[in-house]
Amino acid sequence: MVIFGMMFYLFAGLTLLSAFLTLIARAPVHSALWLIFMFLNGAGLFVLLGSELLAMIFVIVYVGAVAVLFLFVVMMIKPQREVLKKEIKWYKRIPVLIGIFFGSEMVFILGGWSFVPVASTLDQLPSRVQISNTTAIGNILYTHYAVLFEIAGFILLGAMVGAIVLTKRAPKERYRQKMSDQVLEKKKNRIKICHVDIRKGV
Amino acid sequence: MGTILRDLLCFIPELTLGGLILIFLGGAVFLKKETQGSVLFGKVMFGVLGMVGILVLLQNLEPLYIFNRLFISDTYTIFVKVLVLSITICIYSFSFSSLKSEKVIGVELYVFILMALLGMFMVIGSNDFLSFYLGMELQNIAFYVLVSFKKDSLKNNEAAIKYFILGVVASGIFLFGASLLYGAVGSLNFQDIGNVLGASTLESSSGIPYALFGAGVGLLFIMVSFLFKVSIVPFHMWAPDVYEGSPLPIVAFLAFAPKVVILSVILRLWALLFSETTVFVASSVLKVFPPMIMGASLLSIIVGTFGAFGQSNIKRFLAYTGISHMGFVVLGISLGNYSGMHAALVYLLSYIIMGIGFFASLGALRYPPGFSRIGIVKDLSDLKGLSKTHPGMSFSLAILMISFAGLPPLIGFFSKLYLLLSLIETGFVGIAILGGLSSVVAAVYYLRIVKDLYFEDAEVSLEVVTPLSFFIPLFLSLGGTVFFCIYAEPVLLYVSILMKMLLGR
Amino acid sequence: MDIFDGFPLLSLLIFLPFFGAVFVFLIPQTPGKTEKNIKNTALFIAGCTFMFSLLIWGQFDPSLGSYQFVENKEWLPGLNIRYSLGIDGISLFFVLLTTSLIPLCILGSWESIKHQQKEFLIFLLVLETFILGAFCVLDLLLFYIFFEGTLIPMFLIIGIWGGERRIYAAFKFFFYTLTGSIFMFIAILFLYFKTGTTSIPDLALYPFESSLQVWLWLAFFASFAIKLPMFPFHTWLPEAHVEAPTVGSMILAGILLKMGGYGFLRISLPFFPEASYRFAPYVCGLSIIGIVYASLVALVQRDIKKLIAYSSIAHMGFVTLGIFTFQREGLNGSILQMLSHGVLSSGLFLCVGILYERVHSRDIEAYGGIVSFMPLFSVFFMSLILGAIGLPGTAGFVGEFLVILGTFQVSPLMVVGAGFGIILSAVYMLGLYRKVVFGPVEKIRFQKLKDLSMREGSLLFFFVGCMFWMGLYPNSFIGALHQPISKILEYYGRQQDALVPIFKMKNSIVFNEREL
Repeated sequence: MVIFGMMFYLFAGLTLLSAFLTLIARAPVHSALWLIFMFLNGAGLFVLLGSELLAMIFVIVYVGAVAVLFLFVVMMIKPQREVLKKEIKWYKRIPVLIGIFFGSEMVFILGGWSFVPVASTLDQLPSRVQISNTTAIGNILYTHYAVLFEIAGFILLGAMVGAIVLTKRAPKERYRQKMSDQVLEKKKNRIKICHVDIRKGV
Repeated sequence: MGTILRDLLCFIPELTLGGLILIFLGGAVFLKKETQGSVLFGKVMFGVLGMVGILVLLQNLEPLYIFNRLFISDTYTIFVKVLVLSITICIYSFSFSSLKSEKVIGVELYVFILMALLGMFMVIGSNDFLSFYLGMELQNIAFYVLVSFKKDSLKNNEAAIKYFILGVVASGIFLFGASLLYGAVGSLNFQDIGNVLGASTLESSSGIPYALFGAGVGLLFIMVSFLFKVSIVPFHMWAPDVYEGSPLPIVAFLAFAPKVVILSVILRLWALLFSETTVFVASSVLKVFPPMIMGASLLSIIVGTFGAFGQSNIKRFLAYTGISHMGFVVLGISLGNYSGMHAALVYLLSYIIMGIGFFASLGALRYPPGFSRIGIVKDLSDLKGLSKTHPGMSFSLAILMISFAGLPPLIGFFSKLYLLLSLIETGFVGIAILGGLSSVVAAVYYLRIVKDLYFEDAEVSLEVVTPLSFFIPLFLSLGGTVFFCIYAEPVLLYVSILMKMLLGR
Repeated sequence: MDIFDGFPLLSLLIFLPFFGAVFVFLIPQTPGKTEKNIKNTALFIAGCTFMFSLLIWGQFDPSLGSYQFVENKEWLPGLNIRYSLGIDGISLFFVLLTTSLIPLCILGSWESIKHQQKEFLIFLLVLETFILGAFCVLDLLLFYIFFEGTLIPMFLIIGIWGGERRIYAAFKFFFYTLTGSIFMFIAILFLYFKTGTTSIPDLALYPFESSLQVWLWLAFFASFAIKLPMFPFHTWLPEAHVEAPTVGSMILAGILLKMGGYGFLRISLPFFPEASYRFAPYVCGLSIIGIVYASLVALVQRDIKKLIAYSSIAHMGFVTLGIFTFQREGLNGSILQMLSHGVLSSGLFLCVGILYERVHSRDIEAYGGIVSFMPLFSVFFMSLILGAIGLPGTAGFVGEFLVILGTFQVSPLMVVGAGFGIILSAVYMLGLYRKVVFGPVEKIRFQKLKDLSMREGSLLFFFVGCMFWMGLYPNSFIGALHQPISKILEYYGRQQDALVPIFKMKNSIVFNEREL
C-alpha cells in the first residue's frame, strides 16, 4: 500500500510538473515533449487505478498519434518568437488567475466530498473483480452506449471532412485557353463604343 | 429485440439524416464538376428537409425513453425539432442565392447543414448529459466549419478562430461540470439527477450536504457553458465578432437554431431541477441558481441594449440585439414557474418569427454593381432612403423594426406583454419596470433604422434581388408579426400545453 | 338600435379605414397618373367612415347610462383579456371629431403633400383606425395597444413630411410619449395581476387600496399628462407642431391630444377616486400655472405655428382644470373644450398651412396687410381666432365658461388665474391677427397672393360652421354627456350641486360608501 501511495504521488507530481513545464517552455518542441511526458504520467495514474485499457489508449492515442502530430506541425512552423512574446505578455496573467480559481475550487469540493447513498446504485460499471476492464468497457460501450458510439463516429467524420474542406484551396488559375468561354463571350462584355470628340481624348 | 425496434422507430428522423449525410458525401465523389453537385444538392435539399420534417411529425406523441433512457421522445421534443427544422428550411430557402453572392458554395455546405441538424436533433432529444454532449459536439463541429466557409476573407478567419476557441472552451467547461456532477450524483441521466438531488436533501440532516455542493458546482459549470452558447452576458463576447465575420445566411442559422436547441434543453432541465414544483431547491446550494441566472439575464438585457447603440455594422448590431433578446428569454426561464417559462417560449418564438424576416430581407439587399463594396448590404447607414427606391421592402423592414422595439400591435409587443406579466405575477415589479425601460431605450435604435429608411436620402441605391425563395420566409414572418394580435390562439395554447407537460402539471 | 342588434358596428367603424389603407396600398403607383385615383379613394373611404359614424350617432340612445353597441369576444387565450368595444356619450363625440377631421385632413393635404402621397394617405388611414380604436375600446390592454399604435404613423408623418428639424421633433415626440406609456403599461399589467381582468367597466367598480391607488394613478398620469400635454411635460408639443406638416399638426392638435384627456375621464377618475382627490389640488395648480405660463410664452412667439401650439397648451390647461374639479359643469366644460379645441386648433393650423403654401414663411414679421389680397381668408381666420379667444357664441366660449363655472364652486382663487389666461389669450391671438392680416403692405410679392380656392374655402367654412354650431347650440352635445358624467361623479359620492371645497377636505373624506 505504501508503494501504491508513493507511486501515486510520483505520477501525480510529475504530471503537474510536466504540465507546468509545457506551459513555460520556450521552444515549442520542448513544450510538445513535456506534453508527451505528461500523458505518460497520466497513463501511469490509470494503471494505478487498475484500468490498464485506458492507460494503453492514453499512450497509443495521445502520445503515439496526437503528440507526435504536434511535433510534426511544430517542426514545420517557423515560430516568430519575439513578436508573439510582446503580445502574449499581458495575457499571461489571466491563466494564472483562472488556475488559482480552479485550484481553490478543487480543494474546496474535494475536501469534503462524500457520495449520496443512492449514487452507488446508479453506477453503470460492473464490478472489477469478475471481468477484466477491457471486457467491461466493451460490454457497456457496445450495448448501453451503442448509439453514442455511433454519434462519436459521426463527429469524427464531420471533423475529418471539415478539416479537408477548410484546408483545401482552389487550384490557382492557370492561363489556359478555354474554348467554351471564348465562343460564348458576348460583344457587350468586351467592346465599349465611345463617341470621342475631336482633340478631346476619351 | 422489441425495445430496440421501438427505439429505432423513434429514431427514424435522425437515422434518415445520418443516411443522407453519407449519401451526399458519397454522391459528391461521383459528380463531375463541383458546381454541378452544388446545383443538384441545392435543389434536392428542400425535398430532403421536408421529408425529415414529415418523419418528425409522424413520431409518436406519447413520452418514450429510448436507447436506455439516453434519449427521450415526446410532444416537446417533436415541437422543438419541427421548430428547428422550419428555421433551417426558411434560412436555407433564402441562403441559397445569397451564399452564391458571397461566393460560398460547395457540396460540403449541404453536408454540414444536415450534420448540424442531426446534432441539434440529438441535443433536443437528449435525456442524459452524455448524449447531450455528443449531440452538441456534432452540432458544434458542423458550425465551426460553416462559420469558416469563407476561407479567403481575413475577417472570416478571425471569426472562425474565435468561435472555435470559445466553443471548445465552453465544451471543456461543460465536461468539467459534467464530471463533477457525475462524481457527486453517480449518473448523468436527467431524471436520475433530479431524483438523487431530491433524495439527498431529505437526508441532508445526516450530514451529506457536500455531495449536493459538488453537484451544484457541476451544474454551475454546465449552466455556464449553456449561457456561452446562448450568448448571455458575461459570456457574450464572441457573438459580435463571429457574426461580423461570417456570411449572413450562416449568421442567421447561427443566431437561431443552436440557441433554440440549447434553450429547449435549459427549459427541460430548469423544469426538472429549479421549477416551483421541485422542493429541494429552496433548502440547498441550488437556491443561488435562479437569482444568479436572473442577474445574468438582466445584465445581458442591459449590455445588449446599450451595446447595440454604437453599432454601424448590421451583423454586429444583430448580435447585440440578439444578446438583449436572449436576455429576455432567459429572464423568463429563470422565474421557474409556469407563466415565466410560457412567456419565455412565446418570446423565443416571436424573436424567431421577426428575426427570420429581418434576415431574409437583409439577404435580398445587395450593393449595386460598380459600387466600392460588393455583396449583401453591410452597414446600417446603407439602408438610408430605401423607401424611395424600394417602398415595399422598406415597409416590411420598418414593420419588423417596430415589432422588435416592442410596440403594439405587433408580435414583439405581445411577447413582452407575457414576459412582463409573468414578472409582475412572480413579484418582480422593479425588474418589470427595468425591462420596460430598457425596451424604450432599445426602441431608440430600432426607430433609428426606420428613420434611416424613411427620413433620409439615399447614399447608395441598393438593389433588391427578387426570387420567390426570399419572399416566402419574409411573407411568413411578416404575416406572423402582423396577425399574431388577431389569431394567436393555437400557438399560445400549444405552448401552454407543452409547458404544463414539462412542469408535470 | 333594432336592426343593428348583434351587428359589429364599432368593429366595422374602426377597421374600415384600415382596410381602406390596405386597399390604397394595393393601388399601383405610376407617377403623374394614379395620384388622383389614390387621393380620391382615400377620401372616399374617410368619407364612408364619417357617414358610418353619423349612422352610429343616429342610433345612439343618450338616455341610456350604459355602454352601447357593445361587442365582447374572446381574444387572448389563457389571459382574461377580451376584445370588447362599446361607446358612451363621451367617446361618441371623440369618435365623431375623429371621423370628421380625417376627411378634412385628406382634403387639406390635397396639394400640400408633394412627395410620397400614397404612403401619406396610408399612414393617415391607419392612424384613424388606431385613434378610433382607442376611443371605442372597453379593455385596458386594448386601449393601450391603440393608444400606442398612434405613435408610429404620427412619428412617420412628422418625420417624412416635416420641416427642417423634423427628425429631432419626431424622435422627441416619440420618446416623450413612449416613456410615459411604459409606466402605464406596467400599471395595466399590475392591475391585471391584481384583479384578474382588464375590462374597463369592471375595473371601475373594483375598490383599490389607497396606497396602491397613488402609485397606479401616478403611472397613468405620467402617460396622459405627457399626451395632453400638461405644463411641465409639454416641451415636445411646440417642436412637434412646428416641424409637422400642416395636416400632421391638425391631427396632433385636433385629436391626438384629446386622448390624454379622454384617458383621464375614462381611467384615472373612475378607477382611482381617492388618489384623484389627493392629487387634484396639484393637478389644478399645475393647470393654472400651465395656462398662464403657456399664454405668456405665446405672447413672445415669432413663429405662428409655435404660437398656436402654446395656445393649445393653455387650452389643455382648461381641460385638466375642469376635469379635476369633479363638478358636473367642470367635466362638461372640459369635454366641450376638448371638442371645440379639436375644431378650432385644427382650423387654425389649416389657416397657417394655407398661408405657408403661399408665402413659405411661418414668421409673423414676414406678413402684413393680407386682408387686401385675401379678404375671404381673413374673414375665416378672424372667426377662428375669435373662437380660440372664447368669444360668446363660439365653441371656445362654452367650454371655458363651463370650466370656470365648475372651478368657481371649488376655489374662486383659481378662477382668477384661469381668467387671467383668457385675457392673455385675447392679447396674443388678436396681436397675431393684427400683425398678419392688417398693417401696411410692405412686401410687393404679396400682391400676387391668391385668395382661397374653392377647396380651401369650403374646408374653412366647415370648420367655422362647426364652431358656431357648438357655440350656439351646445345642448346637442351636453345631452348625451349627461349620463356618463353622472356615472363618473357617482364614484365621488355626490352630485351636481354639492359644493365641496377640495382644498379643505383632504383628510375628511372617507370612501367606504363606494362598494362593489
